Amino acid sequence: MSETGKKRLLYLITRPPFGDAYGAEGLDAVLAAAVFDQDVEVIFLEEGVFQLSKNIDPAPIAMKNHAKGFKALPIYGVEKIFVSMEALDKFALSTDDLSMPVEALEIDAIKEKMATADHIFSF
Amino acid sequence: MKYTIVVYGAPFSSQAPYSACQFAKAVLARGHSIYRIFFYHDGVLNASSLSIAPQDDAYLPAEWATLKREHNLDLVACIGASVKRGVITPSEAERYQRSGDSLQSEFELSGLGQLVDAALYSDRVITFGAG
Repeated sequence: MSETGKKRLLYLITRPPFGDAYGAEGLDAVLAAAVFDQDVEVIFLEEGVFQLSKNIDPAPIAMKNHAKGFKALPIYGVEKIFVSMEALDKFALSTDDLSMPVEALEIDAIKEKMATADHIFSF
Repeated sequence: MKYTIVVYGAPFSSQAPYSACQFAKAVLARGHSIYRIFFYHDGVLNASSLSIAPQDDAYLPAEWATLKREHNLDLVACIGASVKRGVITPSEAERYQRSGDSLQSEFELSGLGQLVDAALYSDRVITFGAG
């Protein structure tokens, strides 16, 4: 529970934008949480960092680009958005390659957030 | 303790819903309560009344239904995820002009807000079949 009496809900996005529906449906779940005025945080981990890639163009595979919805999260009041530094390194990415300004976290900081969240939803 | 169980996996494709069902039984056997069981992603197929199990295979839609009747559980499938996957109520069938409906009657379709609400009112939220 945060100091404001709101619950701390942590959403982990671990899957790449295409290939399965976890990213798109994870985004919907985060947007639903935004409506409830809780303490919502999102961390992009593993291949999930590609959800924030600047260069997503799903036109050749005839899919809709749901991933741009993540970029809109701050408009819905979700401003605590982080990426895993380890994941960026693993895929030779930097925060400059991402579609929005986000803070990159070391693994220990991510563990700390996971340990202190009230609930974790993983997609 | 008050639990919410979230199921992302479909019967016959994923172990997740079978584990979730066993976990639900264990939670209740230990004297805890279940605030809600929420079906999302492919997990909504647990709510389909049209699937048919091979003989001698566990049939999860019926197991969930029994569990609900015995313990008065709240079984909710995400409406957005459900209609995309063909799990629809009679009114959705009429609205989208489909030839039949497919929601097992012990389940209800509702929005993702029910998942957030469950988190707010539960001590533990356990997900089966996460990405």
